[in-house]
Amino acid sequence: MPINYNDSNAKFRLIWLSGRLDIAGTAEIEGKFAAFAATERIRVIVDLTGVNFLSSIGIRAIISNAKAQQQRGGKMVLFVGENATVAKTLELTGIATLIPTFKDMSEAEQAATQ
Amino acid sequence: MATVGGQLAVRASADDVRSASEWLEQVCSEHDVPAEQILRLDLCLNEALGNIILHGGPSALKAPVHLELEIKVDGRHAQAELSVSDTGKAFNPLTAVAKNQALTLADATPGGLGLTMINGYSDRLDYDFRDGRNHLTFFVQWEASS
Repeated sequence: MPINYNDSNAKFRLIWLSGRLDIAGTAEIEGKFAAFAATERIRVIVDLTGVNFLSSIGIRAIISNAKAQQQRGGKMVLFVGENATVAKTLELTGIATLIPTFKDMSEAEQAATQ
Repeated sequence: MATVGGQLAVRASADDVRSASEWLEQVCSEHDVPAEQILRLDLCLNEALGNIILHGGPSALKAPVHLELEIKVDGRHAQAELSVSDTGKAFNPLTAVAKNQALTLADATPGGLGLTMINGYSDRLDYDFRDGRNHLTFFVQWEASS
């Protein structure tokens, strides 16, 4: 379960997740995810376009980090692109109404830096 | 009507959830279940096993979790039903109250979404408690290609 980040934009950190966010996959990345999200930039975009399986355990990790980010005075937004599977799961569980979720990266960047 | 399927026993442990998914994928692929429907079954299976691991209690570890898959094709009507049977404490998802959705991120509490996922990704659910075991069955239906 790969997880990487990119700080090439000075205004936010881009965290990229891919693969299966099932029980095992989430356990593999949750420590790094929390560490990468706790950036001094406090603005974070999580790119979920490469996630092909999102379970409630994976959603739990996303919510935990988004809440932590908010408590630090920051903001986390989600970028799903054309990943209809992940978008459906986020809508079904109501997460898309709690954490701003975008199909378009420029809109995600704008929301993250507002 | 053609009916095919398979059975698997797994432990109620995180390590075995991936094995269960791989078995499901293999059996479904062998019988031409579309990828979109396999994903729906897999999401339901992961949530069911996750609930057993997290909430089944010590009795869930006493015996393997039994999985039974049946795929039925009748003309253009196709259905997969996946039964998950465990020895954890009795839990009827048909009568359980779904978690209230938080209105803001600050109010949101992680967890409690497994049942929402199962209800959302299956077409129908059945539940029965007999012989000391929960028997949860979820059904996924689709139109078979001619």
